Amino acid sequence: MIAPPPLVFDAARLIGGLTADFELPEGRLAFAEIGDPAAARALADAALGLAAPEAGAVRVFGRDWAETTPGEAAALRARIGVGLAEDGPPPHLAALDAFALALDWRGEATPEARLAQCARAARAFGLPGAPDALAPISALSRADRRRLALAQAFLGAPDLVVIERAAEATPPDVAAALMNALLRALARGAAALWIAEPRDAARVAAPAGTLRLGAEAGKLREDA
Amino acid sequence: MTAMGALGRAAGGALDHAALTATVFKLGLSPDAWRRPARMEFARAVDRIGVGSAPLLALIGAGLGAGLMAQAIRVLRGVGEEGLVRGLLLGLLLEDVAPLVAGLALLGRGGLAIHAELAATRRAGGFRALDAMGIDPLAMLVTPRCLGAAVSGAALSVILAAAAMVSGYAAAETQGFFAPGALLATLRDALTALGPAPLVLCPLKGALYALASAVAFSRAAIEAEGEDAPGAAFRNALIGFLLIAFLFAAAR
Repeated sequence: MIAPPPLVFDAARLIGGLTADFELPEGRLAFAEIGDPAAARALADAALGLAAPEAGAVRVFGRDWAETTPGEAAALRARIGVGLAEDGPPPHLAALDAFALALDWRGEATPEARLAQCARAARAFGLPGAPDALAPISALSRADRRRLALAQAFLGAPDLVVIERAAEATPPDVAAALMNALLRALARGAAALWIAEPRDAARVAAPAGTLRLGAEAGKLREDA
Repeated sequence: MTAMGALGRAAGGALDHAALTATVFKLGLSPDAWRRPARMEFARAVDRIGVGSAPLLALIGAGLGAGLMAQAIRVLRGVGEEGLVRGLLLGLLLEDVAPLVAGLALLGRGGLAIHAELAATRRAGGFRALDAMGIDPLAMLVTPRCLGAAVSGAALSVILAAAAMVSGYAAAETQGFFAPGALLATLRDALTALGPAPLVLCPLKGALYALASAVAFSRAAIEAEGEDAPGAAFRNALIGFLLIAFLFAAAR
């Protein structure tokens, strides 16, 4: 039996008027160049089932978000790694707890395994190790929070990764680390949607087979 | 705003308040909601609201007990009804004064702490971030805080009442009202005479007052914008206090 594509936008008219119509199969990266932050957020929200499209449908792993119960939606989101540019975890949480939040919500790893997994993921994005277990996440610099947000998207080997403008205004090593992490995720069969500003597209050496999406005339579709 | 408009808005607010309270109870009873991050938030709420307020509430209780006892002895002696002092004071203290004073103290300390953290989370985009990770913000942030406040309210009511009883006894002893060194025997006799109801009602009402204020401040932090949000939460919590007090009074 063939598994359904991890992400399908079926003529989905998003909040703000952008219409997305594409299919993202396993092992593929979709790179969406969107200059408008509100449109980028609307696309990410639709992909994550946080906002229903005004028309059309968005399906993840074969399930239409509109037809899922809250419990089913939460279970689907547990298979998605998310890196958001602006929205972060509750600021009172310790940095380590904020970083491991999704892992902790999904299961009960031993403290050692949890720490090792977090340290590995953080190092992949240029941090010295697992985040501080005592200091609040809000005490970290904006740059380090951005690195953690990206690293967090790959914790727990998700089947779909959604990056919403999280690599903007970051040092070159972060973009390279993100691409490495994406390549590893694609190699194990995950799919990824990377939403970025057009100016960031120039510095991304996307792998062959990348679905490049551009927003033109209110439609997000594969570039010619 | 017209009177009908204001009434409609108040009714809508009360319904929202009741709906959030029901959700908190539903999630609180669901074992699935008590995952590690939620348990940590609960422990944090009990620590910040309950443990952090215990010395203050004990101090308030001590002052309250001594003051009430001195007044009661003076007034009841004047009318020759000294025998009513123990029963009247203990009943009032356990059933009404201790839970209400603990609730009012938590209204400021616990309510504002809850509002500050949840409002900061909202400003940081934490609710969207949690939703995106498949984590229900109500299960992780709101329910543990509200139930942590309720547990704290119950415990602090008992602490306040206990401190008031000890200081009240000490005040009475200095006036020769109670035999010296008979604190435990005096309290045991008085509590036995009152029956079990006040011992149940004291923590129960304290928990409900604290829950009402926690829900009001949580709702304000989640939904409201602007500087008046804590003010509206105070108002809603006090309406909740009145409702709880009237319901218990009617039931008695």
